[in-house]
Amino acid sequence: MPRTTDEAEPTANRSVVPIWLIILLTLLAYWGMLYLNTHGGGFSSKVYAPYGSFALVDDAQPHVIGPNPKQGLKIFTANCAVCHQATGFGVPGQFPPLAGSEWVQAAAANRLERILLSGLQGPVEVKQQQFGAVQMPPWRDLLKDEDIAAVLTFVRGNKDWGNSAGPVTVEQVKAIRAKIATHPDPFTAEELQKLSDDE
Amino acid sequence: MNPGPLVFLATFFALATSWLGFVVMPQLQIGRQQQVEIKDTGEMYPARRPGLAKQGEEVYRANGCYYCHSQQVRPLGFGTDVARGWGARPSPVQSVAQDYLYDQPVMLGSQRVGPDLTNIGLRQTNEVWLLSHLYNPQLTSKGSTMPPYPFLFMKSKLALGEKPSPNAVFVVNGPKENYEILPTDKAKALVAYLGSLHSEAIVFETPPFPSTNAPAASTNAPVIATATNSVPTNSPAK
Repeated sequence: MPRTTDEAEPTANRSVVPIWLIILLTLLAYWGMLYLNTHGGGFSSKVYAPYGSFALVDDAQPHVIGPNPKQGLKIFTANCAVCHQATGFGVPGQFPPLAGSEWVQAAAANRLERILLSGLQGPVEVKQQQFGAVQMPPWRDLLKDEDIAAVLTFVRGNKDWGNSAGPVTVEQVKAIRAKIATHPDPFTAEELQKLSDDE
Repeated sequence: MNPGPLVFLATFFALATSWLGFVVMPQLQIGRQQQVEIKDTGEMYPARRPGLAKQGEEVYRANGCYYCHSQQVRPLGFGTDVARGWGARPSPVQSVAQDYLYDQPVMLGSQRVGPDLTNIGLRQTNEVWLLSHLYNPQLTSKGSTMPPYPFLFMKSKLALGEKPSPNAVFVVNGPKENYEILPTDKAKALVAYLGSLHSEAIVFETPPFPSTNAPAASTNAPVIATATNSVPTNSPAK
């Protein structure tokens, strides 16, 4: 049926959003952002409540000071166990034992550090056993100071082997490495025994 | 004015923002998470479940255990999870995304009708207890609202004087005849799955509380030092 009048289309009333509502919503949004900023942990997947940021979680990590024997075990297994065996007993007549060895457990680790860095050649007596002509290779180019400190700390303090000597620090290894710069060849047992503990 | 384009734009905006928030952002955050090495033990975490436990995961899922049991321990100060002994980490942070790396699907659960099972593999190591509990919860937990799952077990008659199988959960002495309750493969798999539920490994996200006792001077172990102010001051009360 056609329209009979010229009435206008009905329209909804429009009104302006009140300014206080806009301000309130803006403040709420601002507060929300502030909350996210302090509690969101920077959206890092490593940060969980109650920590507020990655830096705080990082600070809370337990820090190992000094060489880590667990790192030492890894290095030992990868490099040393081939000859000295995983048991540390070595092979009689061929590879000297580390377990219970007086060379390993000496109060001063300077001789041991020299052996590891520069190697050892010739006859040596360990635990009253004679080893005719050992050929310990030098590790100075293969292992870093940290690795040498770690593996020596592991070997010297390995209670499973009956060893209980103190740890070796990276600084000690660094100092010895500097001293033996003039001694590129492997040491002999005789040479090492002449050294005093603080050399 | 045709409102079509406006409705389309509004709908598109609403769906796009939720897709960004629920799919894209989490994918960016944890989508590339991988196994990590635990510093203390050198092991990779989390370990993949052994085969039987993997099958048990399906039994857990099929029987809807997650309707009542959650697998998520909230951090210290959020609810009573830690106080109820559900957490196993000596840290204010408990469950983290890393724990669920190999869960498919992740069965966090939503209701806490039953106890949280995140660390059930550490709390309850007695398999017979678990099997009895599944067969009839009233046997082990009087008053429990958990339904019994006898269909995960077989009833087998015992002839007079016959010895029960070593696998029997228990033996029932009836008035006429004795029978034993044997777990089916599903029950065994489910118990293996429950045994595989534990997340106590210390990862980066869950730094341990600063230790209060200083390491003994005589030991050869390296000194473990923790920053004294490691837990933020706005952390909830312990």
